[in-house]
Amino acid sequence: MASGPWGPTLPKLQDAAVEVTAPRSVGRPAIGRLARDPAFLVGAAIVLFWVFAAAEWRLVSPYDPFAVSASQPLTSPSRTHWLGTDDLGRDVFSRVLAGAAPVLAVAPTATALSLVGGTTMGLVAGFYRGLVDDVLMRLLDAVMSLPVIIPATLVLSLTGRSSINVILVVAVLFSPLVARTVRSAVLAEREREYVDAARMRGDRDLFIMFFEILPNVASPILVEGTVRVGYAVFTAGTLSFLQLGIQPPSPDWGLTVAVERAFVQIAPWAALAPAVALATLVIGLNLAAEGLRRTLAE
Amino acid sequence: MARFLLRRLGLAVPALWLVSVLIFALAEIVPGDVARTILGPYATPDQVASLRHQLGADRPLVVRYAAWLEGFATGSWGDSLVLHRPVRPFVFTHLANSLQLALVALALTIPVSLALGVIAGLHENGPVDHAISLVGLSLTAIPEFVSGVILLIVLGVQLKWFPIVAQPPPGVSVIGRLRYLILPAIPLMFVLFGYIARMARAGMVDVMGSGYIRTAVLKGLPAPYVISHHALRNALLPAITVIGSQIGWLVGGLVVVETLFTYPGLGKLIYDSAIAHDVPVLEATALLVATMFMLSNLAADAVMAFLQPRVRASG
Repeated sequence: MASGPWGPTLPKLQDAAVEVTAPRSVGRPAIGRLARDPAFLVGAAIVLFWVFAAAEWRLVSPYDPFAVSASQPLTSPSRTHWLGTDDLGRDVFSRVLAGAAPVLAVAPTATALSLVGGTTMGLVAGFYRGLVDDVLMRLLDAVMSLPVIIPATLVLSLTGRSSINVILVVAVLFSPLVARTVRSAVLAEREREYVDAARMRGDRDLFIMFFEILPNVASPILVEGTVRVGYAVFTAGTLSFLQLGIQPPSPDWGLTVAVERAFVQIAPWAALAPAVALATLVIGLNLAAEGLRRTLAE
Repeated sequence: MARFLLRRLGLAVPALWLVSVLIFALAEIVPGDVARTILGPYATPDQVASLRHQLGADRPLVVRYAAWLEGFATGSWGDSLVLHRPVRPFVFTHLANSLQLALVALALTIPVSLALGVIAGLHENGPVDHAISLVGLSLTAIPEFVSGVILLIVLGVQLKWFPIVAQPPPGVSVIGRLRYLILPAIPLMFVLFGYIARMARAGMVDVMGSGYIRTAVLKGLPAPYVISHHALRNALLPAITVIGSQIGWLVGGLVVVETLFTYPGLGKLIYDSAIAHDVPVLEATALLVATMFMLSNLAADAVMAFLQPRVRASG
């Protein structure tokens, strides 16, 4: 059963993963349905906005997000500084735009790594069953026996705080979860005739796993990936807030909230703006993922 | 039942052991020497070596691991490297604080999520259902520090309804303490809300479509009576059983919320000791949290097995 820390939307997801076992291609009809799903469109628009900000903040931000101005710290929002300035006189609006970049670099990279690792583990466990499967599943129980934040805090505070380490820690902690989804899809696939046919032909196991079965379990992996990105943003943002990831003077949202928390009573905008930005990003990601999941499950 | 629980315990113990190895291994790779940390930069190498010997830090790794595990099990958890006080008493003070916060959070979460989940289930696929599902889905995705800082600014700084620090000054009554704990409890509620409400909704939809409810309605019983006397008990079963498994999630959230609201709980203790490389405190708290987390999951499994006999059979 789905235990807590791995998040509220998981159980439904697994149901979806089990349902979507018949080979199907993500073709035109699915894309057409997605294009008519208002929740998906709103979510995708929000995500695209932040991706644009992350890529092009140098062009669109009104000020240099790193430019310190000692003469105007913590000024309130005005026509010159739309969202005010922070404790070092930097423009909050520019920093919010630029702050999309670190999290949108860390979370998708960590997710991609966890998908690669998790898919490999899931394919091997589901295909061979037996001892390999048992060992992997026990390992999964051990990883899942702590809420993600606890092992991540231990590892990062003791081995070094940086974006690279956040990516690695999140990837390692997430890959068993991906493995579980992939494994359950593979268990259903491996009993189908085409797998027997491939065996008869004398295809090697690795070929069957990666070229015969993998394409047929692509859609649950895709859904898992989109949901995982949302959780990766959640986790990476939280680790930044705990100051275990990227360090000042980065405009990263989580880090900024942690630093500007000290000034909430005199300049609440400096902490509020990046918090609201992160909230919109995760909601956007979740709406898009939910739309995708529904479409693929239909 | 006993066999089921033994099986679950059999799975939990190796996992806990792995966690203890992980914690010990992590603490081992902390840069710096225990004896040097205690004695400071001006101690002679001889003094450092003799303290290392005295502390047993020069023994082989496996021996030290066994000694540490035995120490934890028998209650001698060592002294903090930062505060130079025994670890155990203040770990338990922090634990008590965290339990209070967790209780407030659960007391807010459970009734709200069950009620809204049931309402959504009764209006299956209507606008109310969609609204509740959408809000639940969104709140669940927002990290605690984000919702926490927004609430802190809006309700604490702007409206001044709640204090912005969670630790009450000494001498505040129980009711007074509650006022300090509500604001930090709300972000924890947000994260749990979506899942529990979703389970309650699914349970309600299932039950309302079943034959015995149709019979009750057809024999002329008023709808509110059918819902309160026939449907609720069965509909809420799955939701109630998942609450136990959600408690572990609270522990992760506590690290964040206690840091944001500067509340002296177990989460903040883990975080602070990790940052300060205070190994004895870190080891003890992390292992304590893992043990409690495991026990709460075990308890959740037991409750579920008790309420749903099918689970017992499938193991």
